[in-house]
Amino acid sequence: MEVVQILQGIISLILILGLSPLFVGLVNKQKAIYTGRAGASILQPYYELKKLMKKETINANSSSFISTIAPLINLIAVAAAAAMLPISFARPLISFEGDIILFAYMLGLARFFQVLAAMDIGSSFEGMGAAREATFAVFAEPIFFFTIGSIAFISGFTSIYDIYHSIRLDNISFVVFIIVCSISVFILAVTECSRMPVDDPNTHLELTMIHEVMILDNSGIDLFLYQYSSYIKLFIYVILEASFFYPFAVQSYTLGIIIFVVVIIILSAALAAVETVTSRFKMKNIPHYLLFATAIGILNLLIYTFTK
Amino acid sequence: MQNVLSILFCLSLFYLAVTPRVKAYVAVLRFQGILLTILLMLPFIEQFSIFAVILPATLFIIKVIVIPRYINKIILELDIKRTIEPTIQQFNFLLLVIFSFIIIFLAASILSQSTEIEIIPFASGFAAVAVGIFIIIFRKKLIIHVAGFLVLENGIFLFGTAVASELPIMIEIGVLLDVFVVVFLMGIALNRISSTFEGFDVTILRRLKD
Amino acid sequence: MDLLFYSLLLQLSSIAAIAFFTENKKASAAAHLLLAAGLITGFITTLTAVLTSNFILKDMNVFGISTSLFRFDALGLYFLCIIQLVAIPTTIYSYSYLKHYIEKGKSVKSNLVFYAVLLTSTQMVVVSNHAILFLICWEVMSTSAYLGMIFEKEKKDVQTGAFYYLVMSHAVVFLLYVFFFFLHNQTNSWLFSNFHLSPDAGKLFIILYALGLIAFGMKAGFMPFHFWLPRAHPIAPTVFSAFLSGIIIKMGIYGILRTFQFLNPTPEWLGWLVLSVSMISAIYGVWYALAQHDIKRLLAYHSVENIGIIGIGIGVGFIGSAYHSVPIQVLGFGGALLHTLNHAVFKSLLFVGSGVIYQNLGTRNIELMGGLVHYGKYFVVLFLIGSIAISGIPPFNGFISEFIIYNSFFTTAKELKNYYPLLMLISAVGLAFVGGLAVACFTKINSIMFLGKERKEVKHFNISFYEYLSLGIFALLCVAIGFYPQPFIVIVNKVLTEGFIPAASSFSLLNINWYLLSIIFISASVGIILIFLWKRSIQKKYGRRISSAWGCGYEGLNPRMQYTASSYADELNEISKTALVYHKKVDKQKEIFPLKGKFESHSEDLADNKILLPAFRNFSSFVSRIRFLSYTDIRYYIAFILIIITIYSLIAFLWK
Repeated sequence: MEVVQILQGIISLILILGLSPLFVGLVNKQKAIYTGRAGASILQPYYELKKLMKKETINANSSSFISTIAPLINLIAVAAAAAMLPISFARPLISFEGDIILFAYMLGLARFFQVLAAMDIGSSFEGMGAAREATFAVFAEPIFFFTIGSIAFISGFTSIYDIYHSIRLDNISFVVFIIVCSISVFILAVTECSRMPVDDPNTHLELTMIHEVMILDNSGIDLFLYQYSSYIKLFIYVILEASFFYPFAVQSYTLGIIIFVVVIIILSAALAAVETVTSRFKMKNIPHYLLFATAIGILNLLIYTFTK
Repeated sequence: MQNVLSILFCLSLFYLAVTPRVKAYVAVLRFQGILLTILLMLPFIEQFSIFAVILPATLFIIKVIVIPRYINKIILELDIKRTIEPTIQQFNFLLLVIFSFIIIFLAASILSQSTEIEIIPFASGFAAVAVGIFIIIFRKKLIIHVAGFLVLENGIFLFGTAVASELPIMIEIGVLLDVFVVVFLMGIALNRISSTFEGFDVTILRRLKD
Repeated sequence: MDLLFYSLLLQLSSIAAIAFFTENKKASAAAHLLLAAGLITGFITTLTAVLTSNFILKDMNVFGISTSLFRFDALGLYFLCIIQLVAIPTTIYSYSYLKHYIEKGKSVKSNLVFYAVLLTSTQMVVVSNHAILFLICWEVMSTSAYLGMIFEKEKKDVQTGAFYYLVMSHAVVFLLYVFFFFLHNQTNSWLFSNFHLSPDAGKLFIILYALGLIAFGMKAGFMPFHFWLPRAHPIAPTVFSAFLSGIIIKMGIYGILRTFQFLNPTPEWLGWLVLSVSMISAIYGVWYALAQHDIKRLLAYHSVENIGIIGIGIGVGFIGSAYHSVPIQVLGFGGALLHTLNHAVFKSLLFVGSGVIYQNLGTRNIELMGGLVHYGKYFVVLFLIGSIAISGIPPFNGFISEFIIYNSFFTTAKELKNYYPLLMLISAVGLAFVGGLAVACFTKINSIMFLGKERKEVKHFNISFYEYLSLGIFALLCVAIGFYPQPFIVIVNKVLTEGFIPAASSFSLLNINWYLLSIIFISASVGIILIFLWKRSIQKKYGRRISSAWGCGYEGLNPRMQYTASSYADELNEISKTALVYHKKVDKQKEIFPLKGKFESHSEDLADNKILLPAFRNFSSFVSRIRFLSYTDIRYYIAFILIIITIYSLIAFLWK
């Protein structure tokens, strides 16, 4: 039994690590279709990663050992966070009481080193991106706790696997609660992964970017590691979102997998649609946006607590 | 259903707290008017009575049609700027609103132990009153003050539905008329002030002191 | 336990050594050697006592004489352990620190004497069982710290900063006298082991708690009383500021925990009070830290933050005590105790690091630093370990204690149901928010001080062996507690279950699977190394070269164009500027070819500048200023109406 569980955990980790570029490809393809272009193949992110791997690495002359180790730590921290996520019914590789905290802080570790690596270049472009990343992260963290954390506090479970499995849809107010939670998680995903209303992944104007400008001076294998971990990060949040739909698949394992895949495809469509129709916010307004998401979470929680 | 409407009402309050545009205020007022009308119409699903139609109908006419149009007209006529000129940062304002929400919900739940009230409409109404007052305190423009009064009044209305047994409908109609008159008076006053003073800052009204 | 007193004597004998050697250099070497030897023997004795004893010794045999002046109970020994553990590397650093002054020809003897007295008296504080002895040791500790602080007494800011500390110490001692006299009246004993009062004592119980919490909280630096920290820390010699931040403020925590031992079970509202005050301390502390440019001042504000985190654990423990719930108490107090150790370690590391930087560059302003990583790579690694630990990020020790505190929130929510999930969730969000701000702050100082290019020419950046040794010990502790928390948790658990919390054996901190955490961290590290090797081979295959940074085609990049500390923190400060009093002055030239522009920013401490100081200064003129209510703006009147309504309804609510 133990061995089977560990195997399942390893398989789901490999799935997350393997399929994350595919999801990005899916989003980009749909975005292209919505805007009336043919778009690149959905396997394009894989090709790009392969291309990056074969490029020469260039480091800025003022960079130090931080630039060398940061991409590695970034990738490993994100992968460790990915190892805590359940895919369908498989118990994740790392699952213990309180792993939700470790999950949040592992992403914090990744961010810490990404910011340091950006500042390591000593250029003000990277500085700008790093400052923004640090600022918005401060306001994004509470959203995580007000959504997934609130389910943890309500259900009394502290492991991500158990938290999602405690979701039951037999209580109408809880259903409303879960729906609003999933909205907040979507906003969180958009912020943390530097997607559209917060950051534009396609722009190449340094002054307006967050994530892209932080890795501006990286190339070759370093850029490969950064890109890959950002793909994984996006996929992590997508799985967080998709996992809200567990209760519909209580019956069987295969049904769970099918629902999971369907939900992920729907989410990619939603992400692409949002990116097509919205424009990027003013940097100044992003904290308001995040606080607004937090406010929704709080209201949601208040209402849930007092209607039981 | 009542709860869902109240939640939407709360969301509109949050939106008020972040938006910097005057137009959005008018839109939110209209939205809240629709919400309140639906809320008052709810009992019709069970029983129909001509007398009970009067209140939702007047509400709809006044809150959704007349007042927003009137405010829009004033904005157009007086050429008021489109931003709201807050006196504190939007971010802190939103924080303030969030904290008052938490306190109000806690208070409502404590109250509900001793009296018969429905927590969510009660707390949302209460919160709307608070937000209305905050808007008046922390915004400079007179037209926004009017909006603040209206939000406050909407709150009282929601409040009324939560404690329906204790607040007769006639009083609600009275309040409605009251506010209606206030809005018109404000509008006329605005017109007068604009011809006497430059701009619509309350701060300028200091010159009126005796 | 005689050995412990011999070790104290050994430490005190360093004073004799100072008197014996006339030459500064020899005196310093001998004194430090004696101090270190005494501390190491003391530490080993304490550690064995913590690990082996069952903590029920009441009357002690000291040198063959039976006495109740001293007591070695769980809590005292734990704090003794922390003191000695932190004092060893600090002493090692002190040797190297004073050497700089000796080379300049300054006499360091007085400073050394005060340091030795401070060390021994602090150790005496935690083992004394008699209230009067406690007060004497406490006073000696405070005074010697003050005397050590004014090492560079010719400087004006040293005098004022140290004076704040002195005033604070006196206020604390005054309150403590009242506190202990009350306790003595109630229990007819001067002994800590006999002090015990239950809530049946009525009003007196509350008064005693208020006295104890205010006095010890002032020493610890909780929010409204933190005013002395950012003033005293920057001006003290690094050794003293490290010891002050690592140990002396922890004596406040020790006092609060003792107060809890005397007076329990606590009423629930007190738990909430402590929790909210701590939360405010944590958030304000870290947010003020973000606006600082002086590295030591910044670290002082981080002490406020971390004391807040410790206080959060204590607050949760108080709530648990009100409900007689063992798991909540164990997790709450456990988190607080472990964080006390952790903070002592990483804060001392950071302070020693800041001292090293100050010695080399001659400035504490981080805006003038930069690029130090090219001069002292290993130093940066050590400092970085401390920074990651203090931000509460895995895999280092700060994470472990925050993890316990988070768990205490979860357990409280689970045990007490009702509204507790909501309230605990808000606390958890607060802690997460503090964590996020700490990350922002420590990425700021690390990147501005160490990374990029030099903003000011670095003439020399030498780090002596002793400095490396001292920093290395601290960093090793950070790593050890993070990667292998089991033994440290065992100790904390032992302290809690044996004597501190009544009947606590039913729940233990070891219920959390600490080995799993170790495995995760170690395998992640192995993963990093493997990927590093893979990356190396790839780079060998496809090449790697160094080039200049991307500058949008502009070639004349210079170090002054780098992002500065104030611009890094600007967005966060901008948000908090009304709440935290942050001023910015931009002087832009409007010509087509502007020649000169000016920018300045500084932050004031709200509680300090706006509440405490004016409160004292303006008290006499208060009555004449009551007319401030007569504004002429309608908005103020409406605000007043709102305030009055709130007050009335609050009274109506609370009045039964």
